[in-house]
Amino acid sequence: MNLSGWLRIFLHPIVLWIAGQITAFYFFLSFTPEPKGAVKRFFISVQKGIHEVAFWISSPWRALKRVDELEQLTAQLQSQLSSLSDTTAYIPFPAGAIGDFSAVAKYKFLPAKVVYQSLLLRENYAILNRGGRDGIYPGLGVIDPQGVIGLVAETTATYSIMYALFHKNVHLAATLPRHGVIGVVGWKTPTLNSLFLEYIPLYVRVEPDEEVWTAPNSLIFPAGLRIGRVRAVRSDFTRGFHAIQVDTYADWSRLSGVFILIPPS
Amino acid sequence: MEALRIAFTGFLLIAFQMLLAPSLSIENLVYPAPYVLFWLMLPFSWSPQVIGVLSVIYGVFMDILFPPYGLHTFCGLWVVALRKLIFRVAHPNLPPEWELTTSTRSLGMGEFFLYAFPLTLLHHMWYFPLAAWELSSTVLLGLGLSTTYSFLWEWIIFVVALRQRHVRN
Repeated sequence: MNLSGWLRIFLHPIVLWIAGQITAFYFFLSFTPEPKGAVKRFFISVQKGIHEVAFWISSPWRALKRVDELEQLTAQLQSQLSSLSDTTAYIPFPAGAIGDFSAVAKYKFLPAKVVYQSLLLRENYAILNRGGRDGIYPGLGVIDPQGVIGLVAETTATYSIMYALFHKNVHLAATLPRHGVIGVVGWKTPTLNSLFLEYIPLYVRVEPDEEVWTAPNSLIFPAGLRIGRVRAVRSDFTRGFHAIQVDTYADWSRLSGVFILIPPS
Repeated sequence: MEALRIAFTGFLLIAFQMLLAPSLSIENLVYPAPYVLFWLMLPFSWSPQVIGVLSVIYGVFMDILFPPYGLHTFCGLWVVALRKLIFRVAHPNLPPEWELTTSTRSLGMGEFFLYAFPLTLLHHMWYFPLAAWELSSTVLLGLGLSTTYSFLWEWIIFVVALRQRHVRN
């Protein structure tokens, strides 16, 4: 078809009308808060549905893979168990993520599945398969078996949206347990699994490989949950604080099961 | 001359909407929106492309001046799309070349009501629920009252400023 043929199609009144309507409605949906929120919720629901179907279809293969992993884990645990003199209790929560058990004793750990997670955004998030019906509400902390991973930001009856630590607006109170000083961790770099710990005074001698835990003054997490380890320390003399790079224990690119921390009512 | 008259109509209606409509409205109940009249007064004889472009330009002006952005154009294009159909339904015995011979400025009072009221209602049926983003009884009440109120102002503007003087009632 030549140019005049295409022009005739594009200048057809019905085509012009549809183009005008789509453009106008797009602007309406983009710049008006309620429709914008509704569209966002709709797409997240669709996204969740698609991923649940994909998850259901792929479940046999994942189950087989999981059987292999569990067999390996069982063998490993049996070998560890044989080396222990006395084992008295089954641990029903992710013990690996906890540095200090005293503050978390009263919390309930609700297992949840990650239905979907973003990987390349400045505001990374995950959709969890637990919602208001399970007692979940915004503001609860989320950990995986290795450490802190995020917090519940929005909930519906059946699912929740978790903002990751790797979300530009998420900041947590953190502490260096060896010194007892408190700072703030946040995500500044586009690199996943790496955070910045700030506001640690220069007089504190921070060493690489030191642990970083959640702080006692955190409003979201109990104290003593593992966040990560110090990778590098940079002293910012203009501000009077260290700027510390922290490698997280939780691996965002290998996220599977998580636990939502429900505080005592 | 016709084009100048249309431009004047657009300017007049935007000025009305900016200066008078806020003081003539009753909050959360009645909102006068006679700006729909611009789309109604576009001549039937003009080509659909010209009508479409003019409608979008006017809608964009309204969207820039009055939020929610995009909604005026969206609702206005529905009016433009259905106005000939409504006119033909209201006047079943039109001659074959009625578009060339009928002027929107020469409508009588009854003809104007049959033409303008359903299209104003159509515009408001899109506009009010979408702007409020709900379909409650309050919105429906506001829609009904505002349609009547808007039509009243359309009729006044039509009679005072736009209608041809020699037309019989």
